[in-house]
Amino acid sequence: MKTTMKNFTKIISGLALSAILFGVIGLSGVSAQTLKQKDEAAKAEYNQARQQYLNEVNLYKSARQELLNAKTKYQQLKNVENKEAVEDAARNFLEKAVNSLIKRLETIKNWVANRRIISESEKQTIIAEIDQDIVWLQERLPGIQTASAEGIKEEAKEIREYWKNHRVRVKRIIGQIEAARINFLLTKVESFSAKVGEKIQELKAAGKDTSQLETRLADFNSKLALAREKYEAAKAKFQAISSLADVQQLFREGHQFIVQANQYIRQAHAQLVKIVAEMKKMGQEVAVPTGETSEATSTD
Amino acid sequence: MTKKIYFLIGVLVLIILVTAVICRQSQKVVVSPIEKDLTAEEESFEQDINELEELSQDTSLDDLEEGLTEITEEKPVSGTPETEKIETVSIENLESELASELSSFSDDLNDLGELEGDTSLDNLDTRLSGISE
Repeated sequence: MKTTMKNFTKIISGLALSAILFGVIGLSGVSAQTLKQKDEAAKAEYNQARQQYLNEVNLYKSARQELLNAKTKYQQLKNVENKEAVEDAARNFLEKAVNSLIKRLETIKNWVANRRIISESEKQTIIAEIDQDIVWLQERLPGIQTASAEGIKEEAKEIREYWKNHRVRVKRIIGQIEAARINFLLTKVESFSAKVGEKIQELKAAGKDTSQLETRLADFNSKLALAREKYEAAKAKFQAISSLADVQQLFREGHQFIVQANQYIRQAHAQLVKIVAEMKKMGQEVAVPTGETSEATSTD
Repeated sequence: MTKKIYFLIGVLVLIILVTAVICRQSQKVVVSPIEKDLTAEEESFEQDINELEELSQDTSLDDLEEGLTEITEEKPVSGTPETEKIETVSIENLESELASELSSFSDDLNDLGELEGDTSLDNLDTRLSGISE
């Protein structure tokens, strides 16, 4: 009996220790999530939000079809019942339209909120603007659900007016996101330049001929400077978006500057690849004498 | 009786010893003073020759020159100099990071393109006008 109790205690202790150990390992695993894993998690969340938007769009399309059907029926037989059916269908359609607009904005907000690739200040500015729209739309829903026949028309007019501005705002916001995204990339690459320069100086001090490396670094920097110019131009175009009249053209031009900035960064990357190859040729490790010791003594 | 015999034998041995010593002393060749001096000179000469020979073969200070050289001249460092190595792996890592960032940027631009090009609600205006009018 005593032996059995002893063994039982040992087993329980062992299990408890294992559980604690696995718990600690698990926690440390979570906290040690790599940047790649975080990016993938953010992407998964965005895809989920996007899917919710697409589901809402399907409901909106169904509601639209129901409204058309109700109108057709009312045209065929204009009775109270059919009129009420049209009003119900109209309310439902408006509600689904507003929900779709909200989900669309939430998808964009989700894209921005979970990414590390936009600076925090720019992120907060964009999210604040999106939240303003979401709040406005959410405030419309109670009024829509209880609107009278005339009220439905008023609500529809308001939402229609909002929709004109919404399209402009969404394009401008997406443009801002594109600009913020390339700015993040560009800032990061610009910080590489100093490190590469330092390494070239080290090789030079070690007696290596670094003239080719220096030329490549100069080209690397000039490409980044051009990318920076394109980014500034894109930012200006997107900030200028304010009306339906010029939104398409301004967005297209801004986007083109973003594409050009990206191309210049890729060219800079190509130079960096060559710099790395040449450094490898010189040898990843270069012996640098750190100083000779001497044993001179006085004979006086 | 026995004691007496031992005593007698002891005395006899003593007498024999003393006699032998006396005989030996008396058998020494008598050397003349001149011969004595000459012998001493020869012995002394031999001794000197031996000493000189030892001196000529002395190797105790054979490395003196080297020792003096070590003191008077600076000696260059022997062996390989201390070195430190310049690593360039960090630059390779930057290049890899940039490649990854560019790939990620392309994906993000595609996502944003989808958002910007979304036409799901494009006919909303027409639909709403049907309700509001």
